[in-house]
Amino acid sequence: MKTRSVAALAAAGALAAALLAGCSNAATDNPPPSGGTSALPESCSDATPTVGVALPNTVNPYYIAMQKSFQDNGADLGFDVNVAIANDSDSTQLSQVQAFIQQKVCAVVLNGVNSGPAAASVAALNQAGIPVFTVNVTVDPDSLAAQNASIVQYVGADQTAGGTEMGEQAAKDLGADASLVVGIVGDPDQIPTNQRDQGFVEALQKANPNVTVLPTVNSKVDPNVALQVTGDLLQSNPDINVVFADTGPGAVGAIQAIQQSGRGASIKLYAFCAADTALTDFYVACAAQEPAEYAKTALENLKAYLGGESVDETVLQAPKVFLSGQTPGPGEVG
Amino acid sequence: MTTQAPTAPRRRLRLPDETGIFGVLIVVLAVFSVLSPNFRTLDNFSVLLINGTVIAFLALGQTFVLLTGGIDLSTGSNIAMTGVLAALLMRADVPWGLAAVIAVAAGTALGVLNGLLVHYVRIPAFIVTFSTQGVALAIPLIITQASSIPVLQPGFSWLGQGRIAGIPLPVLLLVLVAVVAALFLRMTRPGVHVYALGGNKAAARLAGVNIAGTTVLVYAVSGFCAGFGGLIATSRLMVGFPATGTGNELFYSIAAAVVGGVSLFGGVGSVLGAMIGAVLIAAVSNGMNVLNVQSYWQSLVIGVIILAGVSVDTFRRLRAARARTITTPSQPPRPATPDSAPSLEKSASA
Repeated sequence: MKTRSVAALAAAGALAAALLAGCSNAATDNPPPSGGTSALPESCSDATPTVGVALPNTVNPYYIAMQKSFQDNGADLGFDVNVAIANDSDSTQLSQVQAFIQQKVCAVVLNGVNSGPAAASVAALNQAGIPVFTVNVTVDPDSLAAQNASIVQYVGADQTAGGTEMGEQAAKDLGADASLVVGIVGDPDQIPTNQRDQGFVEALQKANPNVTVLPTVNSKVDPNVALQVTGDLLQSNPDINVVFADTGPGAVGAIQAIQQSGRGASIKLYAFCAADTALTDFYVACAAQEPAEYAKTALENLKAYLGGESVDETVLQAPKVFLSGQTPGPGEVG
Repeated sequence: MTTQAPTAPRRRLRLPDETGIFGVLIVVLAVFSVLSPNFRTLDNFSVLLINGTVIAFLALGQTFVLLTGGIDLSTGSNIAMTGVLAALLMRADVPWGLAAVIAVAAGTALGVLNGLLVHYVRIPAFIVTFSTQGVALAIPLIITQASSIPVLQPGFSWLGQGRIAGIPLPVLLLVLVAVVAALFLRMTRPGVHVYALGGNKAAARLAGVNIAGTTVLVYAVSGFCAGFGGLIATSRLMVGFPATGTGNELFYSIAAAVVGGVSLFGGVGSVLGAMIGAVLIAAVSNGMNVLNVQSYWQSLVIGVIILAGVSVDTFRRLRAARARTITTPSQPPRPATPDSAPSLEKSASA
């Protein structure tokens, strides 16, 4: 009994010593090479350099369009594209990024699962000297600064501009002095959707002084939830005449709710586009993001960067506007 | 043991088990009605009920499973699976009536599979249904590649949007299925077996209850109800959406049943209670939107109301049970209603 506990103690001590010897903090030990002009990884001089692409999920058609674009455009531009899907888990994404580092990829294009935690992935890649491009989800600047990390370029939709486009369209359609009661079918838990709402409301209020904005209802980016909360919204506000749905799935539910309330004649819906859905007499305008475009732009700029050109730190693309009678094409979604 | 009061008048005064939760519902409805004139309209009540039907259907199926002491985590994704299946069938020109029947049959089949795995392979229900949840969630995503499938047959919208005598059809369907389910549990031998299995499995087996059949039955009922939920959700949206029903629906349906007095440990509860629970949750969700409560606050309020509802009910039941044990010796044996039989059985076996 005694010998066994002595042995156990010795083993634990050895383990602790080994752990301490191996202990280091990547974030503080070596200052990472700064994002801009550092040397590129060796693998970038391969005939077809490997590019790691980290995406959050393939449940959302948005990311499916993006994935396909990365693969197609990567082949065209002479990259070997390696896509990892994180199933919406920050920790899975980090381990996938670490696998990219082990594979000694030339560069990584990162669409973070969440804005804050994605900074850890960027920091790990910086440590390995691998350049990072981000798309669609911005990495939280404070977290980046705290971890001494940096990216080469961000490519994504200008969310506020999308909302502004819709707000200006609404002001144009409904007149500058009409009395407007505005309901927002949104996702108040997410920053991009809040930016869309802000753009919409500010553009509308700038053009028209008689705007009342109701508190935002939460569609949770689920058409079924959107249908329910929009129904509640219409029910509680008999004089509502403008609805803004700030996501595609939210728009799907809002369209049905307005139709089923029979108030299509008195309510106009502006939205981020529902996929493959034609605009009608009450669903009058929508703004679409083009995920395939963002993927293409990121790869093109990566190519330029590898060729020694300097690239802008941020590329924001205004969403595309669709009006009554038009239908957004495949991959053009809110 | 002392018998203080004469038992006869006390028994006449005994309220149904659902009284507590019904009181909570009335209070919630009254508070919202006072706070908002837009809440207390017939129109809003109908919106509230339609919005609650999917969760109520899930809660109804879940009640059967909970009564046997099991749990069914696959119902939310069953909604997605059956909804997308119906939309796909209709796109392949299958008439919508037939597509609806096939979709509900598929939902039921998933339930039967759950039941078979729980009984014959003896895997805990939590694990079985958690796994089939993943399967049911993946199938529509694999088939559709996550894109939504528009429903092209306008007739299908009748299921979720139609009205008979001004009453929304989904609500009528729910009432119909719930009444049949309640009568089944109260009046029939297999129904009482469901309670017996949850009350005390060993005793039920010795008493000749068909354990295999009853287990498969309750999961099949749950799958059937989820299939109906999928049809209604899809018919209301007119889009088969592969992520429908995978949000809060499962959690709210279990909460509805438990708030309504259905025990997570089996043997206790009723369909009526679960339905009151579902209406309570629908009323709270609707009421907060009608009152323009900021969305950050909504899950907090729902959480508090669920806790309050269950606490009131548990406290009331405890007191009632204590009163019952005190008066039991002088009581004549009560007829074996499903509400009382299993609890007697439980106390007898304890």
